[in-house]
Amino acid sequence: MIIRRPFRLTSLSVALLLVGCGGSDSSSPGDTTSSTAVISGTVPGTFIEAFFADGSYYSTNSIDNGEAEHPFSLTIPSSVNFHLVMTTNKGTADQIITPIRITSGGVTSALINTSVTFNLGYIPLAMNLADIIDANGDGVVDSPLIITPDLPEGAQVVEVTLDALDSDNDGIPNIYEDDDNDGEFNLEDLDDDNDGINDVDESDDDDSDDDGVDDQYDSDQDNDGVNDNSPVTTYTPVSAYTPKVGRLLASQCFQCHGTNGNSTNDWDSIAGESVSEIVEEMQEFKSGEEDEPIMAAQAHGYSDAEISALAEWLATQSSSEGED
Amino acid sequence: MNISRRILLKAMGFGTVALLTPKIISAATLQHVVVVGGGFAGATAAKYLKIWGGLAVEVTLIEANSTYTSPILSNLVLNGQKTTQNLEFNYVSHSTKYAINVVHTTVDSIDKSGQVLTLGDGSTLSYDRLILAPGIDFIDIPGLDSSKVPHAWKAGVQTNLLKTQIDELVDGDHFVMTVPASPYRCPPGPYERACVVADYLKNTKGFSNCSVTVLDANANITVETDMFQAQFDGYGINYRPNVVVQSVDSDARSITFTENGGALQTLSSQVLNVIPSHKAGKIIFDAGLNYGNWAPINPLSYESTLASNIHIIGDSQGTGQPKAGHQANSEAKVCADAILRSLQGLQLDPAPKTNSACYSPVSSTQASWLTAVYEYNEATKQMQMVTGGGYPAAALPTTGNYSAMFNWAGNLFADTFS
Ligand SMILES: Cc1cc2nc3c(=O)[nH]c(=O)nc-3n(C[C@H](O)[C@H](O)[C@H](O)COP(=O)(O)OP(=O)(O)OC[C@H]3O[C@@H](n4cnc5c(N)ncnc54)[C@H](O)[C@@H]3O)c2cc1C
Ligand code: HEC
Repeated sequence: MIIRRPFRLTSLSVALLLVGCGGSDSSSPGDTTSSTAVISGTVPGTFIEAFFADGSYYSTNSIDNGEAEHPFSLTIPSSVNFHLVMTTNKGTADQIITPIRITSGGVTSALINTSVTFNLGYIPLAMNLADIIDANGDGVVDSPLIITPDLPEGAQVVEVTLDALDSDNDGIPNIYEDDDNDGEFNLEDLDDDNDGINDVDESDDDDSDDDGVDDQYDSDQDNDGVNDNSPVTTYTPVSAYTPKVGRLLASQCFQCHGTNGNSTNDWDSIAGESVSEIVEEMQEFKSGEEDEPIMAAQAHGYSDAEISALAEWLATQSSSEGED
Repeated sequence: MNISRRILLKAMGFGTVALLTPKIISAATLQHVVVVGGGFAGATAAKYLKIWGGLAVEVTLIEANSTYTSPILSNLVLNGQKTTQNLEFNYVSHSTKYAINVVHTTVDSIDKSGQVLTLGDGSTLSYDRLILAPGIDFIDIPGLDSSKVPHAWKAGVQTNLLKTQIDELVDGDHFVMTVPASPYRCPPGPYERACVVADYLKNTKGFSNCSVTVLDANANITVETDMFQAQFDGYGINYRPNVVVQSVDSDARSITFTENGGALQTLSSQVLNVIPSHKAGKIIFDAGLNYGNWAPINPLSYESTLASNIHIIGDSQGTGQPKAGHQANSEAKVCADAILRSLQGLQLDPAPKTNSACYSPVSSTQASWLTAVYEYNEATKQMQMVTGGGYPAAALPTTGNYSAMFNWAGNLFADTFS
């Protein structure tokens, strides 16, 4: 008996994929591939999120430059399908979440893929709740905003039969779905079918396998992740966990230097520096050449091998100085 | 009007039900980690399970309260430098940014073999891995009613109660507090409190005839001994070690105790701040996961040595590592990494490190600090302070350390809650 599953999938496919959102602040969950692209553009004051088919998650805030159009730029993995979601008035009662769709070459899709850096131009996001259509009051616009940027070669919109990030293909990623229209995302909703009985409650017996799908619609009554009508079987998670050398050690610095090395205040960020810079600074703290007693005490706690390992990992992290 | 696209599709009779209705993947396919307790330990563990595990894992965080008040910096509420509101955090980032299922209820019992929890509303929840981070509980003292004689060692209502009582003091009144027996939450914390209160009464209130008495269950000031001793001397704080508390009269605000094994004596005061000695959170005892007052664990994974698939982090765990929020955050990362590795059938990191830091205000302008890095000792299978590292601390309380304290706390709070 399990709490509701947040991640929805269609039962079309034989091999089911699992997705949702794992996330880190502005930088990837430890993905060290060097092939990245940058998307940029201008928006009203906005929080920008990108959800990737490989499970990674990137986000940034637009920069308040004092003008109506705030620039943003987000470094993302190259050639991985992703969804873009933009949130204005984040964290306030007037928060508006706008998933984005792109029309290009006659195709409209919420799934984008790029190996090159490109600019989306100005994206006219709604700032007032009065200006959007949101029938279920969940704060997510009912129809994703369609924009038509000039995509350079190497960037394209993508159509897939099964978009694991958006199971019902409505352009709203699963993470922002509210299936029972009660204004709570499935993720936070203890009662996805709004029958007044918590999904975790055994007595919700329209749903005998307690997977949140009422029996009449459930084509997987044994909950093995495979469509009962389907002859083929195996389930493969999209993303498996790979420990990254140096990451656990580096995470021990985040209490003082911020998550993924991005400080939220006057203390220095340690993301966005090269391996040799970090190693050199650590040695200066150890030797006393750099006089910062609490950091010196910390530096003494790590061997040279550990320092190189954590520096290698930190050097893969981008700095989001001055941003969220 | 409330029609979602999906319902519309159904209503319009598109295709067959089997083809078009959304489907939810069963629990069996996605490993479910449940974290109980959203303090520095649990909130960090849940966040890092998702940052590192992403889609490989589903995470549910169960925390009794929707608002968490940080004990860290809470002594500054007593002297009016902070309010408890300044120290409040919530779990919005956990649910929206990290896609963690956040549930505000209690965990009442654990079926260890069935791997099922019973929650406060009577419902049940199963787990593949369980992390328990319930903080501390207090050992009973006869006659002690903490709603009258506050401990203010869990922050929030208790902190404000003590603050109100301190503000009712007039010149010539007495403030008496106790220091719990080691190990307890935040080793410098009680001494820091004595200094902050003494400074407040003397320099903010301008009272020259108030007394501050510290009754310590330990044989000496447990950390930063010389620094605190010098502060105590400066403030004229009456420090009395080797105290065993026998009972408290909560209405009379009096405390009965022995000192150095001597005869029973009783002390009354206008403000009595009894911080009882600690033990692991209640759920640890209810689930039979304690050995003595704490929960024994393997420091490579924080998995209980008494039950499999249950991990215990933060103040409840029973290693020699300090019971502190910075340290709890640190342990949480080692635990999250270990769980993610073992869910994938990978080897644990054989040499994890953890670290602790405490900044201690000693007045409304000055603070001191101490920090330590811990390493795994393969022979003893325990964590120990890095050899040669010592237990470094600030040479002297300074105003520079006082402002650095807010940078430290700011990043620690953000790394845990945002
Ligand atoms: C005055 C003071 C100053 C301090 N200064 C510092 C400092 O400078 N540096 C430092 O590192 N530390 C400091 N600390 C210590 C620090 O606050 C604690 O060590 C830290 O809070 C421990 O974190 P935790 O997650 O283990 O427990 P807690 O923070 O206590 O969190 C436990 C949580 O679990 C929840 N819970 C418990 N049982 C259940 C259940 N059955 N079901 C659901 N939820 C449950 C509780 O509601 C609580 O939110 C200080 C403490 C005090 C009092
Ligand atoms: C207890 C808090 C604390 C911890 C933990 C900590 N540091 Fe620091 N660190 C500091 C302080 C304080 C400074 C100097 C002030 C500042 O950064 O602005 C500093 C400075 C640095 C600098 C110099 C920054 C620059 O750009 O000049 C580096 C590099 C650094 N730390 C690396 C690390 C690494 C790597 C770790 C983890 C192994 C770590 N720190 C853990 C407190 C800490």
